[in-house]
Amino acid sequence: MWFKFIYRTIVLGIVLLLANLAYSHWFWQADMEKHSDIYPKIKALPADIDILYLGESSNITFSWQDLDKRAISDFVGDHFPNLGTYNITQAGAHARIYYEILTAIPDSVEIKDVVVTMNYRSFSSDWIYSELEQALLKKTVLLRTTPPLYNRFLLSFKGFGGYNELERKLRIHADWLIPFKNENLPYKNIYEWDRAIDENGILDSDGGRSDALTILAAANVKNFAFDLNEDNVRVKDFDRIVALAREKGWHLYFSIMPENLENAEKLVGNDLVEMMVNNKNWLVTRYRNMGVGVVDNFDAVAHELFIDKDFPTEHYTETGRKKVAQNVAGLVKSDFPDQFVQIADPATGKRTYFFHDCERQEVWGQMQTISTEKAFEGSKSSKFGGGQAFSLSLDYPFQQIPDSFKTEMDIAFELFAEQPPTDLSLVVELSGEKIDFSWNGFKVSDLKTIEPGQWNPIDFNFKIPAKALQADVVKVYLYAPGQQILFLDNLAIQFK
Amino acid sequence: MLFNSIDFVVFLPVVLVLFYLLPHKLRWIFMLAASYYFYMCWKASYIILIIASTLIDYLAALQIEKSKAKSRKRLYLALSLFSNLGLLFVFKYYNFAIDSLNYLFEHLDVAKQIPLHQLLLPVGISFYTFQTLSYTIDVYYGRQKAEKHLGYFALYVSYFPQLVAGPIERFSRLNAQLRAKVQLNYENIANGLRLILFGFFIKMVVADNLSEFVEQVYAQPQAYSGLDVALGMVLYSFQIYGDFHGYSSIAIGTAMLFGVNLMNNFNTPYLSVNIKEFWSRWHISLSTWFRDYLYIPLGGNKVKIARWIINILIVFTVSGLWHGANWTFVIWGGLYGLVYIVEHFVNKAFHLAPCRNELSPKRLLLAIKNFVVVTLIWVFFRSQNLEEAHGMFSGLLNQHSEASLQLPTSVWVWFLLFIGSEFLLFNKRFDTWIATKMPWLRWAVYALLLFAILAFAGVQEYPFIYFQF
Repeated sequence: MWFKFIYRTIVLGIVLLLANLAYSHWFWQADMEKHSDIYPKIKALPADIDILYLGESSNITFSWQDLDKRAISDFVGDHFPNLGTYNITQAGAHARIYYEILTAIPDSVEIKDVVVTMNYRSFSSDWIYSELEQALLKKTVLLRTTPPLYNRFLLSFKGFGGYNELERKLRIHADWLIPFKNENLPYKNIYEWDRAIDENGILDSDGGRSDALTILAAANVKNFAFDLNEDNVRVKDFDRIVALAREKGWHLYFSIMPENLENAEKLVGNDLVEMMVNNKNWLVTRYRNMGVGVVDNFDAVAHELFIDKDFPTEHYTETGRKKVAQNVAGLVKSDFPDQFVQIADPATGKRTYFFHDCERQEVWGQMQTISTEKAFEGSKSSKFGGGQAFSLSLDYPFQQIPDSFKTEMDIAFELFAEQPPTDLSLVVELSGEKIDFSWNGFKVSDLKTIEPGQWNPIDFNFKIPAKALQADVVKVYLYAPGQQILFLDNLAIQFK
Repeated sequence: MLFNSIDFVVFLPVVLVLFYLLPHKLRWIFMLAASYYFYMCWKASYIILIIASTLIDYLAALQIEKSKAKSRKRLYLALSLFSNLGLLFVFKYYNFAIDSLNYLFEHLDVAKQIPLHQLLLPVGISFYTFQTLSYTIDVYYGRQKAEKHLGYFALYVSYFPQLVAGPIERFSRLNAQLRAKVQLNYENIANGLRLILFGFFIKMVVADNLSEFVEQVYAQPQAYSGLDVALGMVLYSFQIYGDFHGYSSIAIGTAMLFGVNLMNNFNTPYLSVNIKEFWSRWHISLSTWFRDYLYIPLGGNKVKIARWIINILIVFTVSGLWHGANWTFVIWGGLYGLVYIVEHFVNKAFHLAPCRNELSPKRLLLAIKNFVVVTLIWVFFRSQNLEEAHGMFSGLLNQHSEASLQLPTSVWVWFLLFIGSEFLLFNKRFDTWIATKMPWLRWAVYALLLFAILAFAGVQEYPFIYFQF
């Protein structure tokens, strides 16, 4: 019998080995594209990356009132217009998912800096044992470095590593019973704190009990009240990311996302905020000691800049996202000191520098002209002329530019033409209800002699007329009414 | 715990190894604990229902046996029936009954609306309540001695391989095997693994992959051509068959690893020539249950023809209701009853000879006819409501389409392979069929099935359809 067993085990082993080879060769690629929406993002990464930003919904969530609805990672990229900044964003992601993503990036992709979102809430039991976990892990199981057929087996047998409903409840229950380290707190554990909030209730402005606020206060406690230590699952995941970054030679940054501390204090009290700050400080110290650049955004965003008011989230309006991006860029710039651009007025935070390399997602005017036919850098440029008279254009509310930066504009771009263009103008347009329409066209052939068949760098300084200072909108673009096809790339505008 | 989960892939070998390492006298405790754990992985609190059902039936059966007076016996039987059917009613039929009442009130202009409950239907409740019911009824009629050992009785009720979706076993059959001193036996292990392999293949590779396309058609039948709607119906016939037959094969295979032979639940039902034969090949443990505990007590066929017709209609309608608390299931069951009766009279009127129990062109033609009937009746089973069923039937007449069913080649391959296997397995079970083949062919089949399961199993969360009953 034992001979039979050993003999069959060997045959089974050979069958599995061959099956893995066949699967990897013929079916794996198609499965990855079908079952992992993270894989196409990894596959789309170029071979050379300066900054890779890993984020969750905080990266991409915007308010409909935002003028610029782009992601935090895009705003980071604005600070480094000449660098390749890319992001992989997955809603609900946390350190374990980031780790899986990072391990799946092939060695052929050269990365200098990796910025990983560190979401304080993701260290809580409520998130660690969330029922969304299964769905998240499912997206990453095929990315793992274990044999592809084994990963596929885990996918269909739901072996993602999450917990079933019973385990989840038991673990959350056990965690919520753990006594807080600070013995001076009026409540021993989350259950007691939660019960006290429920019993006392949170009062609204009229002095009556508000169920919505009471629920929000309880959610603050469940998501924010815990004592961090190295046994925390997420801490271990971040530790693994640190080890991976060392192995790969990446410069690693953790960006601690802002939490709504004002609301936590107002609804629950200073005890909670103090606990949160202590935990955050523990993270900062731990990872700085490990050589990681930690961006501390914890209190960087004020209550009014949080989008969600009925549940603790890390979703910020444009100003909040820009603030985080500015902090991240401020730290990352030590790796690229010559590439950093101050894109906003430090005093007001308002933007003063604009750049579009036709690769990024930032929506400017005439985006339909983006073409992959030619490119100065990357793979895209703006193709215009031949019936499409307007190139990619900056189209921005002029009043959003700080007054002290409305004297002049430095405009720079790259132009490609097969023949020297005769009928091409650089246009700066200022319009508004309070001013007469100001159309300023400059013949490009007067600015520089265009060498045909190659990219030509062009610089121009434009003095903003005093009569146009009350303009509502500023537009900058190239205008080619003729039939000649032209290409524009790397359009940069600096207000001074 | 689902069979098609990594939890079960880990759970089964661990339980199996420990089972054979333990001395015989401790095995029942271990298997009972494993069975309760298996159930609690789904919803821990509902284990109380199984324990309650176990205790009530255990005590009721003892009292039935002990009582001398018929009236007392009847009282304890009633207690068992009331508690088991009561459980079923509360969790499964209450909302359906109240919903129907509310509908009636609405149409009679009665302002009153009775609230529905929000309780989750316990997985497998229809299976284990029927299993325990059969036990107390058998004790009542003296066909079965009451079990004195509470542990073994509890294990009979909760035996994990067949706890949540059958096969519904009789006490005499299962208990004797649970008590038997089992030795590690190569044939049992090999046959068990063969059935598990085959079960996973037809559940995860065939049924789960088909379900995606069935869902597409049922979601908007008006968008597909009549041909695609018909294809959707056919695919569902094989989806539900693969799903339930797959589950049963895994259950039977799992029990076999522990030296327990569960009854067969399927025997190539789509090769049946009529509805009567279909129900002797489909969900056999349920149809024999209804035969023994409902049809025969109603008088079976030893009654006048009118009464027989009523008996048939009752049995099939109740069977429909057993499957789900919805008018669609009532119609589904009722239609089987009607077709059964019509076929009976047609056969009688035209003196049609019964088809031989072997594959022949005649059987094949009749099987196609029967498959069409069954497929059309399945529409009621699959539909959430009568409107959806109506949408499917009217979809059969669609001339134009906005969408078309695009089954990938791999799905077609596994689907057609499954259909082909039906002919090979006519009146046979996979484990016994494959055991007779040459080793190279056996291993080629194992390799193919294993590869299909590992590389092509469906990845959506598709629990076994019968878990909801």
